Amino acid sequence: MGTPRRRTAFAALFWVVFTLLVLADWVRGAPLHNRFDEPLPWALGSGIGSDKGAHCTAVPRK
Amino acid sequence: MAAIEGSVRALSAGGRLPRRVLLVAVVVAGWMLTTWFAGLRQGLLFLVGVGLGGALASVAFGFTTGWRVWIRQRDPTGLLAQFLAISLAMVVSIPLIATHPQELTGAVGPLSVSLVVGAFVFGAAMQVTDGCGSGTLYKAGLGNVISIAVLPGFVAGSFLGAAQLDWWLRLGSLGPLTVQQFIGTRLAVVAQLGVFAVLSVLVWRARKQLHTRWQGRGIFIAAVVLAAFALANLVVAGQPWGIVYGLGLWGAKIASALGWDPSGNAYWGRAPQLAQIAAPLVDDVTSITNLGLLLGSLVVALWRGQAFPPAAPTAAQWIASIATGFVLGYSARLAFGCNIGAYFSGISSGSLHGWVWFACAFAGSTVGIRLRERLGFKG
Repeated sequence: MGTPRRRTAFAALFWVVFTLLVLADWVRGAPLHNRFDEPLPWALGSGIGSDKGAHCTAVPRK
Repeated sequence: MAAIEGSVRALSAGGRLPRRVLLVAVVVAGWMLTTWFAGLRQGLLFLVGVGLGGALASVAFGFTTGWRVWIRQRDPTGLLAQFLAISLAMVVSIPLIATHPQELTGAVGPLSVSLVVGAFVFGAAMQVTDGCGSGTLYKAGLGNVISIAVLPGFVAGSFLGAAQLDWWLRLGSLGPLTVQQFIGTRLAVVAQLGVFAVLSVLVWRARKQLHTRWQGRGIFIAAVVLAAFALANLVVAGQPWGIVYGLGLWGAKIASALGWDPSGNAYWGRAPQLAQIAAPLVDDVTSITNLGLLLGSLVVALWRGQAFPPAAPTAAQWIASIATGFVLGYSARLAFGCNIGAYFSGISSGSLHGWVWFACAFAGSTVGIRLRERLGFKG
């Protein structure tokens, strides 16, 4: 791993695997997004509450 | 990515396209794909992530390193830059969240036993791997082999830590508390600025090291840029910048794909989590900034010719990195965030858990630095 070629190959492998995982996830997932019914691009001023469950500070149900 | 770098070089050498134009084109293509497949908001958040990754990578803005050079050498530069970034984000975030409570949510976590344990362990682990939440991501993005080795364990640990968080919370919790609950919004901003001012004076007066690794104003400009992008994240996503939730979600998705049923779990079985597990990760606001951050750091590193930094870890260092990555992820979930979700965004939301995280993680770092030295890691 000390040679530049090995480091680059390792990083390239990481990016290839990562990209494949993202693509596989996208193919498998059920999209939440409807491009014909876009909300405002930003939450501020949209009048719609943010998703309160998708942050590191979210807690489990009791 | 090596192929991309090779192509960039080949095209540049041929004089057909400047290398930097190609790098910008990669970012624009990523933004367009994200917007097409996940929407305008996710496209904007992808760009926010690229900006965050670019700012971190351009000056090696390390939360971990900033603490370590202070503890070891009394170099205050990194800590002062962190205080500046969080203060700038905070003076806008707290009033904005207070005036738009339906649309914007702060990063407010409970004060709990798990927070104290998790933050201390995270502080130690991040020194061993030389990377916190943001540090691990941006270094993995630009091709640091240690950070790439840390990332899978980080994902697994974040997933499992969240899955077992209900057990940890039963050990004791006061619930989420903010400074503004006690003294109001304006005084909360003033009080937190005052604490950062006092801390800044203390670390400056105690400085010993004048030859810092961060030369010039670059790190302070990066701090301002980080604050600006963190605010953009709040305005666009409706919640402050976070990292570890996204990594845990990736773990939950992998576990779900392997047959695990999340519906019975106290954390992953909640309706918002079940929806996120079923949806593509590009629909998750935290995951999309993480993706942008990874790409932004790579683009900036290639732009500056600093990608794929030298590293030749020993077998023991490989094993330590992979194992410590798991500890990082698990402890970050117990602590309701890493240096970003808890320290940066928690404090800039006025959450008391951010301050407790800072104190406990800093104490843990003093232990982690000794572990790092024992394992023979450089720097």
